[in-house]
Amino acid sequence: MTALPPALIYLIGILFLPLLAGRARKAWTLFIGVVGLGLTLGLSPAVPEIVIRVLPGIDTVLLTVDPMREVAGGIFAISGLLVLVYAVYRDLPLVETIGILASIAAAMGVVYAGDFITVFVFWEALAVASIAIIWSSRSPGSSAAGYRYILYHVFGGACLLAGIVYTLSASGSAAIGPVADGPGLVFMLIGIGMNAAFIPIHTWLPDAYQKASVVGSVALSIFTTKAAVFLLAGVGGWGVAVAWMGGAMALYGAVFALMQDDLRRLLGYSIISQVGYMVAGIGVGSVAGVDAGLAHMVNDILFKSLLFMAAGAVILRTGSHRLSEMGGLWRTMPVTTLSALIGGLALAGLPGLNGAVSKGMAIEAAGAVPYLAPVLMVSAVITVIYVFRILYLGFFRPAEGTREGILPRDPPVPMLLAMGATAILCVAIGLFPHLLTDLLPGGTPAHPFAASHLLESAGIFAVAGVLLALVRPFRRSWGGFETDIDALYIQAGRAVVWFSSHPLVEVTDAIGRGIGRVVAWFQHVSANPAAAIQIAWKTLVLPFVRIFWGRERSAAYEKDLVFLRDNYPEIQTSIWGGSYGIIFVCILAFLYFLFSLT
Amino acid sequence: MVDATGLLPAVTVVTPLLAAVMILVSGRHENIRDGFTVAAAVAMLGSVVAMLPSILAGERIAVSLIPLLPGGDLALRVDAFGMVFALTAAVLWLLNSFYSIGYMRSLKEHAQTRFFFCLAVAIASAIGIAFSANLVTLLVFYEILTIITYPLVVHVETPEAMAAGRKYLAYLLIGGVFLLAAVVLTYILTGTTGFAPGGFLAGSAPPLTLQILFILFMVGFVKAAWMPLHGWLPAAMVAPTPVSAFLHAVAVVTAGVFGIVRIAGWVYGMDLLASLGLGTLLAVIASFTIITASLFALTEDNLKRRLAYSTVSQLSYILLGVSMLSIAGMTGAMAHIPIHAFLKITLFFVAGAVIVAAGRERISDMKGIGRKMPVTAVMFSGAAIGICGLPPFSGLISKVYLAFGAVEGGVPILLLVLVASTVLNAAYFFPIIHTMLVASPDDERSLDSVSEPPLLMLVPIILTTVASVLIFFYPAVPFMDLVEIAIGEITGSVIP
Amino acid sequence: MIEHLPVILITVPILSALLILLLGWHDRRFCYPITLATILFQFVGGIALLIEVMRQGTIHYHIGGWAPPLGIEFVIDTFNGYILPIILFLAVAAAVYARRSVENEIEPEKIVSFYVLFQLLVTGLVGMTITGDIFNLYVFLEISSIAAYTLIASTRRPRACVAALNYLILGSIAGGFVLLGIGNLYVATGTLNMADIARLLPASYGLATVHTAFLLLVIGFSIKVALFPLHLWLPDAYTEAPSAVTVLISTVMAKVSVYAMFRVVFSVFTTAYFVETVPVTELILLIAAVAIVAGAVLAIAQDDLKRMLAYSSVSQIGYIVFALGVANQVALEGGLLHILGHAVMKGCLFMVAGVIIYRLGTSRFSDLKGVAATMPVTCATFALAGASMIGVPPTIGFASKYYLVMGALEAGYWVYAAVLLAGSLLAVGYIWRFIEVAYFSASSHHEDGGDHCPAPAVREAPLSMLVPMVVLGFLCLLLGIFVEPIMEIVSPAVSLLLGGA
Repeated sequence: MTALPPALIYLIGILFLPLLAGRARKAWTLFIGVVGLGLTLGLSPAVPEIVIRVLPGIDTVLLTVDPMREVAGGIFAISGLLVLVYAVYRDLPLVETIGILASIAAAMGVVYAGDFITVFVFWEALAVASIAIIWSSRSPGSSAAGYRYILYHVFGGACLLAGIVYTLSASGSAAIGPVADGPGLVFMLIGIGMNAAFIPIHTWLPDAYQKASVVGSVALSIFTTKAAVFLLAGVGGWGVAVAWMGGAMALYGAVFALMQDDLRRLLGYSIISQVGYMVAGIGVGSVAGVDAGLAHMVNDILFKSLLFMAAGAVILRTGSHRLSEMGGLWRTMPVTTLSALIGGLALAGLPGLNGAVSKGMAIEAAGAVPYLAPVLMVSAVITVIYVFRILYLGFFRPAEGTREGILPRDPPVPMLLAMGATAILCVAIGLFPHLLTDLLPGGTPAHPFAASHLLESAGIFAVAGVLLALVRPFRRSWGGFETDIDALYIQAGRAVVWFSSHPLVEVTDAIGRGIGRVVAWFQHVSANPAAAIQIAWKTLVLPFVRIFWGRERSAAYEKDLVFLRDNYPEIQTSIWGGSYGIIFVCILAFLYFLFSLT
Repeated sequence: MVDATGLLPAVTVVTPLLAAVMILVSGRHENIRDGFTVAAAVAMLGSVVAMLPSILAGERIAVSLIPLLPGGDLALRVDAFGMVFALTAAVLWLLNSFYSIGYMRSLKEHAQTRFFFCLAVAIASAIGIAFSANLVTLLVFYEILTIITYPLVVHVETPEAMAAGRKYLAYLLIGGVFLLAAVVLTYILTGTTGFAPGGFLAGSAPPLTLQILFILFMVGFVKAAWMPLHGWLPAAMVAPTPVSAFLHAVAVVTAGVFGIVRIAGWVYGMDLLASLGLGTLLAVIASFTIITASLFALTEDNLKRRLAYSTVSQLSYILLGVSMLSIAGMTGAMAHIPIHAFLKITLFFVAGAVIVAAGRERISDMKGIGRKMPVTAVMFSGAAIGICGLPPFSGLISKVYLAFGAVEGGVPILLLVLVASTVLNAAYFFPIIHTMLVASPDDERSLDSVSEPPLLMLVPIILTTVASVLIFFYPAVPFMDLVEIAIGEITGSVIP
Repeated sequence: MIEHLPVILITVPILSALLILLLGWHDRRFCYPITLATILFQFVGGIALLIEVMRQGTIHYHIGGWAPPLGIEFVIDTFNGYILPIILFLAVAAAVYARRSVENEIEPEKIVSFYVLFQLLVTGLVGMTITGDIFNLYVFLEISSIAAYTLIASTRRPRACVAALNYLILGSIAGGFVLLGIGNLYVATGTLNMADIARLLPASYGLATVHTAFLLLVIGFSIKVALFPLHLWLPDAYTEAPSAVTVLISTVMAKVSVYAMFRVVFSVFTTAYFVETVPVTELILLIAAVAIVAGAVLAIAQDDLKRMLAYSSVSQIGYIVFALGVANQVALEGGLLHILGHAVMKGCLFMVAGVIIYRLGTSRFSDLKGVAATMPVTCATFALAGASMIGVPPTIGFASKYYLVMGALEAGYWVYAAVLLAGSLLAVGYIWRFIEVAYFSASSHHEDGGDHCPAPAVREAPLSMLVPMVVLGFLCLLLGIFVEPIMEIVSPAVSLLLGGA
């Protein structure tokens, strides 16, 4: 039997969205989500490839299935459905709904695409969909953030294309596979790395997710980075450098997450950190590593979206998204608190929750690269600390942070449903890892409850606890540190704008004026050439006249010249003398010829 | 072949000319006059489409009208590449006619007869350029196009417009003179000017001569608006918007780049260009133009002028593709002609619609205009995204091929140009989208009078956008197929 | 009958001139029809001669049966067989055009003499064209010149007399040069028959007498054709003359002078002589180039339509002489083509100027704002002929420009080719001034969405002026498109010239 590419379902869904409104639209989106999920789960490697020929010379493979794709596609479909459920709580703007469906479609497309060109197309589509989501929350700063977002991603996309082109002309086929060394590799890394939030091109992530709407940030948090991770795994064949990049991301993200006060910005950095684990695993390149990366991708999607959902619920109810303004929510928003707790602990890597499963796998796999595993552990420690900050400052500390007057309560049912389902998934995978690990392409088993892992986790939590106990600022809320490398990029951009608005324009204008002046002079002279020549000549000899002639004669001469100048070009200088002169010249000329010839 | 199809090219060129005459005659009765415009557009499109099958079958329809000058009869020869241009022009002219009628009537413009007369003659000469079988014919129609578009440019007859018109005329006529010199020189060197797939200049003269000749051609095709000879294009923005659309998408600039590609593929041939090192020259010009023009566009606040600079930059994509001297690059160049035309005409249509419906030309005045004219604004966003080369719009296709060409042609440095210009495109288009759709107006009440433009203008806008999407999904029908045939013609090989 | 046609072409008009004089005394209304009829007859005769020549080669006609060298002979070969119909056609056009404009511009009592002189002018020019005897050429030259002087002076405007006087002086000097040159030739060869001279001359190519003759003749004709810088009589003469006369002298007379120049240079002194023995081609080229540019620049500088056109003539004459300087097949084809082309378009343009003067009483640009609204046909014709002047394809102007450039490049004169092209750009400069003024300036915007509403004050010109104008205008286009048949006449003519007769 032949199946449809899942992306198609969501695209069809988009087609009908404008016609529907209100409940109908919500129902439709949910329906699409369910159908998409069903279709995705129905796919198996047995399904034949769908190949069409859109461009001359390039086979477009819209659907090809293998275990890796099943895992990624499945998780995208599930989380997509969860987002759609979460979104039901209110009437989203049409554009935002389209954006969400489109990003699901694009992610699906990237996953199931069998060739680089198709990947590239959906890759770019993902960027466009994301900008729609970002801009449709009209929150302050979302405009600028969205603008920066699209610039980064268009740049990334172009680099990806460049890399792809290199690979193709090297290998001759568009099939997804390892990249040859050289410029192609660099381009490819920049391209994928932009979406995977490699350091230092990660700044778009916390920047944008913080500004998106409640639902938007959930949707954003799921697809862009994870699609990049998937592609990274799909291409494969990376070196240690990528593994180290993973380590750097893990550490950098964790440290910055620690310093944040804005909840969603914090989670954004947390994403960077967690993606670091995946990149590290994939970078190591071993079967176990890739499996770890994929597994952690699945888990991170689950608990991170759970956290974002909880954050969204809090923002919706309290209207504040800064830890310093929250607190004491566990009383008023118990369910939200519970899901935040599950998500947070999963993120922290508490055994029994899904985070521990894959994080352990990642650290284990990272052992293949010297000094990488310790880095990951350190960042794990920091992770625990900032998770504590989230839970304590946000939910469990005495409520002095909350402003009076508002009595927040748990969010509407759809949100609760989504959060609940996600939480259940987290717990389930945490308790029964084989649910996930059996699906992995390498089939690497995970045993989070093995002594070594328990010990490891215990150690991490212990160190974190000690630090928390010793260092009081960790327990305090503060303003947060929100500058990142992108300050430089923004300055650079401003410089470009300044250059094109000042020097460029001014220089061209100057040139234009110069030409205009020349033309004007030309017209001025040709208005009365005879007189012009006369004036020029007289002006030329004026100094000699002054020298050799007497005072009054030269004075008369100058008066005449001034008269000529003043009445130019009306003045009529007699040219008849000229004509006879010319004839005289002709006669001379012919005499000259005469004697030169005879 | 002397049967009906043999005459179709001539019919295609003559139809608008007859229409022009009828327009003059029936000038006093608006509806009849505009009726002729539309009728001619339909008829022309019909005859072009009628030729399509046999062209797609790989045939060429040639008809020699009259012996004109040594080196070239006035002869037409329809081949795949000419068809690309002709089809684009024909389709867009039909839409543009409806749009123009709507525009001119809702603004109650003066001298409409003159306007439509010139448009008709101009499209005729554009088709003539597309179908010309030799340089002389090309030159003839090229010059006619220059002259006949002048009244369109200066239509508003303000002093500013007259100045712009002089600039326009100066640039293009000087270019035409260079072209004349080039054509004559070609004839003297080779004794023919008929386009031959793969070129016919090879070995006809010492390299230096051929290099000079190529520069003559380049200056001759100043209609391609490559920097620093682009000044006339932004200046011509004083014209009514349908004219801008016509200049930028249907005929004029397209004719310029068409000419350059013709020269590259059918007069020089890519091997000769490579051996003369002209690809490098072209690459430098194109890269410089792409980047600089985008920078100009970045800070231009007048929508039409920003679009003009965008055109300048986009046209050089085509030159860039040619300069790569690789099959994929050439493919990208040829494909970019219709692709850019469809996208850019949408943008100009919208610019005009905003002028008609809201009377605004500056981007900074368009805040939140999408609330009152959502369809228009969304279509604009679509086309803009398309020009940035993002899905689901046709712009992405040519971008992919150009990227291929860069690597294939061994000039990966050009990839950086592509990357940079893509970012710059996004940098100057997305703010417009944001202004129209997201930003909220400074004064809510200022939008009360605004509404969607009349249907005569709205429908073409929608159609062109849809067309761009369709080209993205089915590029093969018909453009890529035509391009494939053309590529096969000049290189003897197929697209990789 | 047909074999006597050449002499009939001369005698009949002279008689009809007398007839005009006699009947005109009786009743002024007789003049016009007679003139028109005669010139028409001459035109038909010219055509007949051309056909004859194309059919059976050169025609030699011995006046009174006296064979040369004693007798005078008329020779019609492809060259002047080609020129003759052109000038006569334009003469017809001018004659048709003349009637109304003359009524408008000339004192009624002068009309009789006007037509007499008109007739004589045409006759003299025809004579210059078909004669095969160099002294006879001079005679006809003077006949036509004297007729021209008086015609120019015949308007009401006082400045016309000054212009005519200047022309008279310079023209006489030119005549003197020519006569001296002929004298020298006679001394050198002892004959006045062109063919004989051409046959005998090579023997004495080294002689100073011959060089003197050559230079005298060239300078003399240069004055007649108003080759820059010897053009000074031209602007005033063209500007001040009655419109009809301007048309006639600017087209027919100028072209016949050019013809004479070519004839003397190529058929009397052969190509061999002036290319090898006296290497003046470079000099001629230089002067021609200067003429092209300077004439155009001066034209741009004018603020009066008619005067502008006059200067443009200076520039255009440059093109034709340019061909003489290049002196190869292609370039000369271009030159001969341009003789036809320039005659047609300049005639048309001067007719437009005349029409405008007829209606508006002035031809200053400042007074012509938006005239296209009220005189659409006239301005459209101007646009057409102007396009041809610029050399926009597919007009006759483009064709000749194409040939000239090709010839120049073939001969390797890159720079001069560039000058030619620059000249055509400058042509845009002056043509466009009128286009802008007429079409695009100060024509107030009409809110009715319609066209320019016709102003009651000024109407289109009368039909008898409009028709020849429009016909010429369309000829600019048609000749440009169907240039091939013309080339079939031109190329043999050129090869005849280069063959050295």
